[in-house]
Amino acid sequence: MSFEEKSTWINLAIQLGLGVWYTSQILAKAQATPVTEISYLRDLVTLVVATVVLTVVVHIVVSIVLAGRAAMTGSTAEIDRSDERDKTIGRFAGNIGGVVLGVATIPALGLAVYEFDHFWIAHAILGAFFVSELATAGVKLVTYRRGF
Amino acid sequence: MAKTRVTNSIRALRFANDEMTQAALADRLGVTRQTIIAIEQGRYSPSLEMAFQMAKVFEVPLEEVFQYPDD
Repeated sequence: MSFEEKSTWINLAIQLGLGVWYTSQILAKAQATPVTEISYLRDLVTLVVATVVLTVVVHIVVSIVLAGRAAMTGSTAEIDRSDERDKTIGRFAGNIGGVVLGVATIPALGLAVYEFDHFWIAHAILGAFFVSELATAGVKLVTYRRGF
Repeated sequence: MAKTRVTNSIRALRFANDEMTQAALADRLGVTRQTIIAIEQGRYSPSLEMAFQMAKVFEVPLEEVFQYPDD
């Protein structure tokens, strides 16, 4: 598995894990508070910061492990290397993710037009980002396995 | 994803070159071993530039590395 493929799995795992965490936080608050009165800003900021920090930390750890393995095998083929195939797959998946993001933001636009509470608009946008990221990662992983 | 019609002799050329490993070829070309595997299996068509670099590594003309079938 190339570093870029590993990186995609790492990002996917972090996004899914933090997505579940954030949803559970909001659902727990929804038990006691009407949805539109939920204070979600702190959780949202935590979600964004945790995503960035975890992504960086896990990538650093994986890079160190792979560098150690490369030192033992004498081959640098497995370490942090991105080649033309990775870039082509990244562009292809990114294009599809962009289309998904465009389509997925339409509900948020509808919510804004019909003046729904900002809670729903913010979470529709967050959901659009999430679905787009999942689509991008999914397309990447399928393309890595099935060919391009 | 449709499999490419481009065929190749990379595996045979590697063995003819002191049984060069996929990792060694990847190192020579500056790509990942997975890209070499994908090319060998016909799951990825490399750029023209990488194709020429590969031919240069094996010191053969491009046509000996990659072939395209007649219809």
